[in-house]
Amino acid sequence: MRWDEITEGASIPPVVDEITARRVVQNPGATGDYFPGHWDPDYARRQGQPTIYANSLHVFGLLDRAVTDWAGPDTFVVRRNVRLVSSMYAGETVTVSGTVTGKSEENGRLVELDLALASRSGAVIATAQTTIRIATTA
Amino acid sequence: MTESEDETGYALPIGTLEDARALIGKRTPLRWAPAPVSLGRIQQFCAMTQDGNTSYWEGGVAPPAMLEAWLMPLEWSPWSSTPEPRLPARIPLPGRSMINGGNDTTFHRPVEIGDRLSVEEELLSVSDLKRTRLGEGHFVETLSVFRNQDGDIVAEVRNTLFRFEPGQPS
Repeated sequence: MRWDEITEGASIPPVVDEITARRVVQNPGATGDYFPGHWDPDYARRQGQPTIYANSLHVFGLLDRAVTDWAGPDTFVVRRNVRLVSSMYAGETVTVSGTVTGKSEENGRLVELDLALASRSGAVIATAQTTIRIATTA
Repeated sequence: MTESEDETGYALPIGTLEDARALIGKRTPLRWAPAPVSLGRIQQFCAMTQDGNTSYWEGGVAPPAMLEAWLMPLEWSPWSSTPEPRLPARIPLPGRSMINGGNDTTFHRPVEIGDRLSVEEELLSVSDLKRTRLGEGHFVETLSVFRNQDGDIVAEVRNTLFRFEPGQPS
């Protein structure tokens, strides 16, 4: 993404992802987070959840992916402030959408975005404010 | 603690709100990652998030979302047969379950292959009793400071999890 092409209020291309049970169970292996809500459906139900759900790092990874798919691989995430409203359950198809909310050149080329991760029904799973630094060569 | 929770191998320390608040401000000893940042782990993570970012696959940079993954305790090692949980799972409170609620991370420098990270943690606050869709409990706010092998701060994390007793009282 070229710096002069980034405009406040613009939407970034949404990332749509199918969160199969297989994907959710990849999570403990990939991150080392063996909290049982991420692999044991019985435990998840005892927690009051319908089934197993992705851990926070998977959610953060999808939020970051939406931003870096748009801004490019040299993007540095400066800050990511996430509110986890619900959980990303096995069997859901989710969408990350985002809007550019600010742009500044005071301390490098910084872009601020508002992001939302939602299920197919539209229920919000997580919201985030992310600040990125764009590579100066871009 | 119930038998069924024993089966999962996941038991949280039980205590009172006062027990929890007595820990506020005490910093944990420095804890080192079991292993340096590696391409193998990065590939496992990116295969899960289906992230084709070339800086992760070919550029030696770790996805920022993996930050906590480098410090996850091993399930087993020759020196310890039980994983030693990180601070957020070591707070004595009445609730037998937990779920993450919020995370505010500021990154200062990239994490790269070969880096060996450490973390120091501190309990910042424990809320009064709250009710959410999952049950009644307390919000636990912690600060984690991640450094690399040179002692440079890599990232600072303010995390809020909900420590609760499942079930809605009628």
